[in-house]
Amino acid sequence: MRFLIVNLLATALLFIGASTASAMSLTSSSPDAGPELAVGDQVTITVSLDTEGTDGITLLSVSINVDAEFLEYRGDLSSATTYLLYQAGKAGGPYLTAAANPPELRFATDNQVNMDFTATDLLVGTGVVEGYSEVSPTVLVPGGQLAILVFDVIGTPPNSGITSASLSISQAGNVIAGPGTTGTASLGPDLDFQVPEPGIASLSLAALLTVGALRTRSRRAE
Amino acid sequence: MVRTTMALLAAITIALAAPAAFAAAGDCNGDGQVDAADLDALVAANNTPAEGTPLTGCDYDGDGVISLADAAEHISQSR
Repeated sequence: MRFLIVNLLATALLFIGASTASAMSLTSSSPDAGPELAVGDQVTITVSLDTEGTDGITLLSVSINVDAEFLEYRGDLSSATTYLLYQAGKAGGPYLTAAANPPELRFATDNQVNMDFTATDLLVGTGVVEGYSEVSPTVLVPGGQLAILVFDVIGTPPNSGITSASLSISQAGNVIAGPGTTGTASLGPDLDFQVPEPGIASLSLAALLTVGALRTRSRRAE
Repeated sequence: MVRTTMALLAAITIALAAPAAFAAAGDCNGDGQVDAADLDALVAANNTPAEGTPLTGCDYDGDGVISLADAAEHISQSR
């Protein structure tokens, strides 16, 4: 009985270990996802990688996807991290370099920005799970920042006034490859940008000013 | 004799006009050899159209654009 329990436990641990050993995660963040925006504003999106213990990455292509009717990509203001997972010496091995800097719109599209990286050895892939990068040249990080993307707000979404930017590894051209990977990664949630109708924003402002004026008047009356 | 000559001329014309069609599978750079240089060519051509180039045969997902996804498939098929 004890032998059976030990074996079952060992098997369970093996599966748990195997399922997490090659996991990676990708996230996006923006200080502009929250505040109300207006046409003419810019939003900045930072995309980051966490290897979560994965090495042997040969090719990485991740995309941010937007509605081009409301967000227009500004490649001239965007940038990719030129190198990641670098560590000198025998322990370092190959590392990732940006295939395009700044990241480019997928050919013949206006709504998909691909962040493409290749390993300096396309057969072996990255040699470490933590390394130095252009953004973190002295502190070891498990991947880190991939790119900073800038978009112009060019339109007002209808109804809720929200337009989103979503991460993907399954759009055209996207891939995660390498002998150490599962070809998959967990993705962070979409970023929602609020671009209310100008009329609504003006009404809100008018309401605030009115309340403020009334309070001032009542204080003077006292 | 005339027919043979015409046929030969036609074949030469086609061969000269469409070298990509005669490139071997995996010969992404059209140099007649399948080697490491093909993978380099594939990666160098990332995010460019495949049509009308020797890379057409290496557009593995058939979407008309060379991408890292094609490079990954190339590596996979080379193993």
